[in-house]
Amino acid sequence: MKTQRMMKHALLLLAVTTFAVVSMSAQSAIGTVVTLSGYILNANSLTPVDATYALYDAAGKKMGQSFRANAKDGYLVTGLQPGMKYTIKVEDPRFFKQEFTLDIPNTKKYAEISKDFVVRPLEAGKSVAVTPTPFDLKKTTLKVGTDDEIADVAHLLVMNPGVNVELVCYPDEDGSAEAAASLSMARGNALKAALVKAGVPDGRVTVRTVKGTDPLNPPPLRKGAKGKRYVGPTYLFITKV
Amino acid sequence: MKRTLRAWTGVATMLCIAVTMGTAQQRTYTMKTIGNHADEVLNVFVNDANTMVATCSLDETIKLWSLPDGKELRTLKGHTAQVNSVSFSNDDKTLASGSNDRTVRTWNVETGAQIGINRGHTAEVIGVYFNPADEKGELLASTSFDKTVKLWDTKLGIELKTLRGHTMQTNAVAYSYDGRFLASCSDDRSIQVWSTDLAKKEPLMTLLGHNSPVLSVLYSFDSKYLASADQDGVIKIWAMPAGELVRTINAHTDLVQDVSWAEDNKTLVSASLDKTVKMWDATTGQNLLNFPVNTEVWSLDLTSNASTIIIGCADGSVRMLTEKGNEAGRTNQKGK
Repeated sequence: MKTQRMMKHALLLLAVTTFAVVSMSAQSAIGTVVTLSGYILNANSLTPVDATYALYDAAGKKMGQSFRANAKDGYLVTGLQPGMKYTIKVEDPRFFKQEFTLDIPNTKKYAEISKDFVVRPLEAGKSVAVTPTPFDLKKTTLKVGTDDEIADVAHLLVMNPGVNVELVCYPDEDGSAEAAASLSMARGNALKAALVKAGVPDGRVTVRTVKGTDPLNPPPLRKGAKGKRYVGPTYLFITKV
Repeated sequence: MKRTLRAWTGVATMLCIAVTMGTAQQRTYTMKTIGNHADEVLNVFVNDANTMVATCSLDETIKLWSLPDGKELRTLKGHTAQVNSVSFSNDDKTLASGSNDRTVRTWNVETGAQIGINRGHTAEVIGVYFNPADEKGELLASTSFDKTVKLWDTKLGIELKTLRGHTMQTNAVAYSYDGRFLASCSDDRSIQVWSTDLAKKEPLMTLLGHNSPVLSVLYSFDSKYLASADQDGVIKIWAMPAGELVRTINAHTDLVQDVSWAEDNKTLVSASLDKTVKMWDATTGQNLLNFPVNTEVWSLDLTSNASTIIIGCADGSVRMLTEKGNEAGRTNQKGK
């Protein structure tokens, strides 16, 4: 009788312990995840696209299968762990290969974070605008503070070794064809030098000079205020994919 | 008889119109070019003693010119992008400049040597202004397309305070002459008035009324009025420190990038891309001068009695407008 009572107590203790362990693991499994939402946007149109991407952990290990971004609801991925670093890699032949680093905040509660990613279409004959424009009005030297932007473009080209580009820099105002070509060439050469310095092989980048303002994005009829004047756009024209 | 009466009425009407026009166009100026930058002149600032004017340009330099003769004294080089704004200190010994290279620099006026580089803004610096009430000539305000206004101790080379309140790019900043207030204006169409008390970080008031980006603000010498100008060519006069709108002047047909007060606290001049320089009686809104220039005018400043106006033009020229009867050049007290 006494043995039977002891066994009953032992079973009860086991049941309580098991429940507690299961509860704790369930809590840790579902209570501390982070969901990432946002859109993958086309750099030219800034509209959502259904690009294919994959998630990698800090060690470079791919997390599950590749995903396809939902251009309608903006959902990207869930199950991210707080305090961890991840990399989202765009792996879609329609776009440049690109990487985006994610630093997940260290939280003890379920959290949702939102982030959009801009990807550049990859198609021979098409162009991608370099934004913001890396030159000041009438200047041929790279604008102060555009180092990160140039580094991003260089990184993009290094990650896509099969892609060759032509740099096209438009002048800021209508004037003589000679002056326009001179400015365009000087700007193109300055940008090319910066890209080569950042690791892009010289042969993959060429410069095309233009003799007039951008027909697709022409200067406004009226001058802007000081510091806000129109500056001719700069494009990467894709010559080889 | 009836016909004669009608004729006399017509003559009387013409005389009235002529008298009105004569009253409106009270001042007459002649213009001469005193020199050139290699590119567009973006800002002009006359020193307190009316003996020197500083200009800055898209060519990345600053030039100092003597007054009243307009002789080029020296060129200051150091900025690595266009220089948007210049300001003399209260004692006229130091010049400050703000540039697209995101720095605020200070210069020794006597030698032309660069004294300091102040870094902190994260975008183009579009406006600088020394505190006119600071006799040591050390306290400076700057504003940037990063939407902030920063206060600096230029002697120590440190940032004292950052003022945040505008929601879009800011375009200009100006101290009141008593040194108690600071006004800033922005693409968000507002003017914000700040206390220069370092403990206060929120704006004291926000002035609304402009219908386009506000490009320029400037206090009158007695600190009782604030003039603001916008992208539509409209100038507004505000009673300060109450912040009440006193007058709206549809001044120009293109944007007004700069305004400046004369020492009488009622004469105001404006520079516009509509290729004119205009003078106004701010107390009545009456137009006192309508001076056509054959190029866009980015900036201007004047001697205290408005006998000389210096303008900075889009063709790179620095020009001097001298009032007829004052060709010898009167010197008097001023400040911008």
